[in-house]
Amino acid sequence: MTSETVAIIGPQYSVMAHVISHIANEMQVPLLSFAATDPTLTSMQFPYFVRTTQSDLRQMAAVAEIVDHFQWRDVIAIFVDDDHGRNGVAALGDKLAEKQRKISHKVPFRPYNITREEINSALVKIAALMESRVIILHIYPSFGVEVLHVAQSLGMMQSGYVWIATDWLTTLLDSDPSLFTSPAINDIQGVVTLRMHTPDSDIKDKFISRWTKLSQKENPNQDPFGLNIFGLYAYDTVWALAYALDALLKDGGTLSFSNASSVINMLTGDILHLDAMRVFVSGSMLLKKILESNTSGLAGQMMFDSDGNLMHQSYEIINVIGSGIRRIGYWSETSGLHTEEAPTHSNSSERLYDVIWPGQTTQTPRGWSFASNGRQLRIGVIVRVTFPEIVSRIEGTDTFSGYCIDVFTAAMNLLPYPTPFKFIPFGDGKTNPSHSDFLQMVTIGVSIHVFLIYRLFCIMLLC
Amino acid sequence: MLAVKKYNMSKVWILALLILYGGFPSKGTGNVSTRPSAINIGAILSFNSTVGRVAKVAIQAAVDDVNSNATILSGTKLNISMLDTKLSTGFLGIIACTFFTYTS
Repeated sequence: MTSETVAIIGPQYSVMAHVISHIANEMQVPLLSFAATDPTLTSMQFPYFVRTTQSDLRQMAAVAEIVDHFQWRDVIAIFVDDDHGRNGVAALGDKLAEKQRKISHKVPFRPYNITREEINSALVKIAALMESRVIILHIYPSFGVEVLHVAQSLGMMQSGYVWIATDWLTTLLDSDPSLFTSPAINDIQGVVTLRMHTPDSDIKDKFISRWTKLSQKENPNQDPFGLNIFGLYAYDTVWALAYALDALLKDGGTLSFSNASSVINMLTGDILHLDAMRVFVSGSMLLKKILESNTSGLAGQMMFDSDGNLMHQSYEIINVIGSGIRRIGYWSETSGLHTEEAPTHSNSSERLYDVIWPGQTTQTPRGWSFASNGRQLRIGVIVRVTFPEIVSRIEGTDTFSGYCIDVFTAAMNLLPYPTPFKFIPFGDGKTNPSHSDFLQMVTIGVSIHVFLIYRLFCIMLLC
Repeated sequence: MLAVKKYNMSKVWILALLILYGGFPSKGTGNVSTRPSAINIGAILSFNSTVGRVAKVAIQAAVDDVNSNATILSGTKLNISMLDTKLSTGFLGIIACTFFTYTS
């Protein structure tokens, strides 16, 4: 050990941030994470965790607003079953509830080493057994495209489906632009995704123009990789820390450490060697300076609200089309969805530009379909021996013919979506069954829809 | 005996660190003289992940930019040490960064 660390940039993953935050609390060393977006990390439990990027609470508010905008009632959430995924989806559930909408099914994915078979069987279940056709994908970039590839192979990237990927997809596309010319782009057509919005600025442009050189310096043998949003936040995080340290020193603060608290020594003894741990005496002061930041960086202004979240957060709403992406709007906390970067407050302005959905259609999917195991519309049909031209059963089958049936099926065909239905015969075919017995069946719960055919039958008798 | 020895050793370290971080009072020339010549900061990321490999370059660039900028932390250099947690968010990654956090 040479000398102590006064602050840590990271950790990158929310899962680790949960664990390290406990240690940071004890050592009073601020953690400045540029990429851990789990909303629950900015809690009173973790005062030394500072999120220098946007929280998924805001991202999920944006997703909920998109769902509300297209008036879909239920969504299915696919997520990595760890702190990052679970807490993100919990936030989504809360935000949807505010709009009287809900997650009808949660589909957890193993966070690492997930196999194609596991992805396949989870998606088959969604396609076959679930009604909602709006799928929110909140997973890691490492296997996100694989999930969409399996979805494509199962016919789930066709018209009728809605896929909303959280910002992992834009992060991946920004870092690896070769994806746009690879076959994988066919699997993500029509997907709607989000990206943290960072306003254009001279310093951002300058950094972007330096990027190729910087990334090649790091990995001279590899192809240069693209800059993504988290690169901007990581850069800004170092500067915010530097400003805070500068302010601390200007105020006469020192960077001294004291021995770990006696509690730790009592708890651990010799086993874990936690006695090597030191407490950063000015840690709370440094934390205060960081939270008082008001700097302008590559990603925009860095200021924190009283909850320790970045202020002025907004997202871009992106649609993947052809061999590129198109921005269809913005979401900001104060103005919701809007098509212009600076929202206009007139009611006439559009909230989102047209989306090209999976299956190359501009028609907004209605967001649900009948599940193959879903309930059918059950139609009770009185099997009469008289008036066979109105309704009659085809001998030996459960199918019916006649004017009444033709009118009914014609009406069903006029519905904008297929509705599975089943005729349920009532009567033995030898005598005319009693209408009151038939209606009795309704009261004991056979189906309310028997009225339909019964009424239709009566009307036709009158004609 | 062993425990006593360890205790003495850590006392030596604390003394060394107090000196390193300006434990001696300055002689009335203001705060500037108490400024350390270097400040250590750590970074925990996964170098080969989509986010991590971009962040690694960006963090290093920012540290270089801060160190070459005379208006901020003048006279003090930022030293950064980075821990690669590989692609694991599981047990091994957590153990690695736990040790990194309290021993660096």
